[in-house]
Amino acid sequence: MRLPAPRGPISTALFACLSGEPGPVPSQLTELVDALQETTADARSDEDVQISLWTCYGLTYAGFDGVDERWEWRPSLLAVRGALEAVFERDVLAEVRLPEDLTPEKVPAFLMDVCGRPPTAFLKFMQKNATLEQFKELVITRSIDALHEGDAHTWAIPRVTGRAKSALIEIQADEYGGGMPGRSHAELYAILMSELDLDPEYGAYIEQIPAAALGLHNLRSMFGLQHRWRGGILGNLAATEIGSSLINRHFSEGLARLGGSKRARWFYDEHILADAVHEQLVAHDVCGAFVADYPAEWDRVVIGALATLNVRALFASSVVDPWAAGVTSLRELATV
Amino acid sequence: MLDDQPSVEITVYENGPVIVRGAYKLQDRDRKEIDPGRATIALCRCGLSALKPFCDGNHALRGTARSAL
Repeated sequence: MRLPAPRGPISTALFACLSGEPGPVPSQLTELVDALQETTADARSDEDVQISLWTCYGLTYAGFDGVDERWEWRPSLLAVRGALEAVFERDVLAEVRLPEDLTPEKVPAFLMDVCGRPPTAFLKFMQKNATLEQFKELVITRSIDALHEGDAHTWAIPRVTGRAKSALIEIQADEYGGGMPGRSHAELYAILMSELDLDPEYGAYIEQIPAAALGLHNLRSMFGLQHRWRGGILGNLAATEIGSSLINRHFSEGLARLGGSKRARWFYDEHILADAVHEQLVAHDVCGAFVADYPAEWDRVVIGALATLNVRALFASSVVDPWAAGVTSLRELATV
Repeated sequence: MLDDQPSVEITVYENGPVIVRGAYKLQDRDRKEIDPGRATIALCRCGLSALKPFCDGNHALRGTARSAL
């Protein structure tokens, strides 16, 4: 994969830097990211911040053509990533409130409740009214996250022990198709894209994908890559799995209405059954066991789940609002 | 199994399905095997699933009123 096009001064400086030898980063880049606390009002929808963060994390996934792999752990670049993360974390948590009466024992039931409320209007629209073009737009925007489905949560495995680890592994094994080649959920998403005549290569549509969609993936990566957010990545998994069966059923029925093949719908249909299992395991056996075994970190699980719901709601608006206005939710290539 | 764990484990989840894992065989009334497509399965307990015998998360539509389940 090639480096994406920059979307502002930070990504311009960052990408120029990544094309060279690993070393110090230009002071101009450091100054830009250090000023972000003042210069960005909302990092969740800041195109320059999100594409920069996505690229920093990309070094830890598949990397980029022409970018020296040693950049991944270069302290100068980690400092840039840290400044980007700080402002993203600030804005992701700005609206998150831990309920006052919540106790660790109530966490599984709380997660089932708060994460299980489906975005009904959006789902009904996808099921009954969306055009094929709109459906494909949604598939494109979600691709930046779905083609890496499971990966950020796998980083949590070495960070936890005991019952939570066992249950997490049971979920993750399913995410990767039980080890059967071609059956991982990411591969099923690639099949969905191919069936819709879309390019399933990761990052193929990166220039068209808006900040809010990148934010979904960046939040997982930020939680997954940091030990202090190990509770948060489990909460993120809870917000992903709980209620997912219903969401995927609506998508499958919407795609069937539009003439999508059974093979195209495989990704959604697989999630209806798989996530009916996963939502129980993640609420009770992963998160419930984690808060019992790591009592000092119980609030992190809830904050991680609520932050995920917050970012997901922003993502949904970034898709639905343009559609309501009669325009595409994708970034126009001409303006890139 | 090396220890005294049972070969099949059936776990009841409050307000949710039963989760079955282990060396089970799933079959219909005519003893025809049903392929679950995965190792660990969730079986519907509320009757609302459109994919019975499997759970499809539909119990959530009924909300938390069914705490007796």
